[in-house]
Amino acid sequence: MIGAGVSVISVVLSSIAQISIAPFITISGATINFNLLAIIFIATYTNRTTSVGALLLLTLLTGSITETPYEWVLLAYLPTIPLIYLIDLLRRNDDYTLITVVAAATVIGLWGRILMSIIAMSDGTPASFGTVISQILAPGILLDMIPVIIFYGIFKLAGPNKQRVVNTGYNT
Amino acid sequence: MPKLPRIAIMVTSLLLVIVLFSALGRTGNLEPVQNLFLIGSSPLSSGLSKGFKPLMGFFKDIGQADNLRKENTYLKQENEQLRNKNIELEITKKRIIELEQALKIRTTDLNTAFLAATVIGFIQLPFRAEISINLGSVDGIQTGNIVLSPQGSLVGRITSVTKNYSFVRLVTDSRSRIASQVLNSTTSGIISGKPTRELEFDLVIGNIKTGDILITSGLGGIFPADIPVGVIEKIAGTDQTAFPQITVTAFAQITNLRTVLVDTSFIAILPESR
Repeated sequence: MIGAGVSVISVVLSSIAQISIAPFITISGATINFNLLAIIFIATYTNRTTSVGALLLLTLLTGSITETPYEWVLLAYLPTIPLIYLIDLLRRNDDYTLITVVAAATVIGLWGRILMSIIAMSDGTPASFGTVISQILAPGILLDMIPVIIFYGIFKLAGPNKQRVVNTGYNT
Repeated sequence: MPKLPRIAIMVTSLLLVIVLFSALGRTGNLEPVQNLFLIGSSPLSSGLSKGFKPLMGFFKDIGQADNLRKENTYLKQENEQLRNKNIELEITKKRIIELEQALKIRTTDLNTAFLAATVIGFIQLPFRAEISINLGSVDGIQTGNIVLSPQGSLVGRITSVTKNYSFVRLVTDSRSRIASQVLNSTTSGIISGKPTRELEFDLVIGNIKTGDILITSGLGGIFPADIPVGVIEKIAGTDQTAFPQITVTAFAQITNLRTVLVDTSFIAILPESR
């Protein structure tokens, strides 16, 4: 219940931050993606049902306040679903969580930016393959990876999972 | 009957949700939800933006203090000159209107109606640069109205309107195309946005030089004529280059916008309405 509440607050705040703070944090043609951060951490630290619910709420909120068609927003963040299953599988081995989360954020971020570029191009934007890579995707990778690593560090230090159970075997 | 795996059910459900969202979004059935979210988010969005901007500005400007001081002095001098010029132009404009009335001709539009709107959000997605404002169809805003900065420079045009809110495609959006000309010259071209939110002056016919002021030409009917857009900052290429790369600096300080003016008397002739 607490997880669901925190997820709703995170999604609402990330959607608002996306139209108020994000435009000031840019590299070339890429902007930081707070929604990605929120959805990745919800997928990592809550259960499947909460994550899918958060994904739907994010779609409605982001679609409404950015005027992006709802179906495209949902498609952009849809790869989070396999991530939820992957995190569940890896939950027993904490060592791989950071790598999984950063890799997932990069892939989902890339997918989202490619999708948004396709929408823009289908809407009449003349852009070359090189422009998309150099001005949108490459800086986008940086803007997706760095905040995820920083936030993951903060979560590990301040979050509920800061203590790890280590199997040391029986002392006989 | 074999039991379907949970993941298959979930993926099918999500695909159905995508179709549902698509259908509801296109028929406008989600507009009340959109209005609700916009109403709820706008105060927080404005507050966050207001608080965060000076912080980012501080980090950005910290290494350029000397340049900023010089620029400030130059801008103060320029501001004084422009104020004096503005007074002269106001007097001239008044005189022109008087003469037009005496001659019973009308070229100066006296019916221009501006509505002041507050910027509630900046939308920056790949190739997209838009803002949302707190005026909608109930205030008389229509798709195709043009949006200016409080100082009168071109900001963009209304592309979508809900009951209480509207979305503005900025001049820096990659899809934006503005038929323009150099002030006091016949040189014309198209100002277009770049993915990096800068402006470029393309397909130029005529001579140009750095510092030339660009205004809308009114061709195409999407923007009215004679609205200041920007100034030519850099021309890359030699005299032999057929189409040199011309970088334009917009007059409107887009990321500093708090208030904009919507010209409700002008409605663009959009391709879809032709």
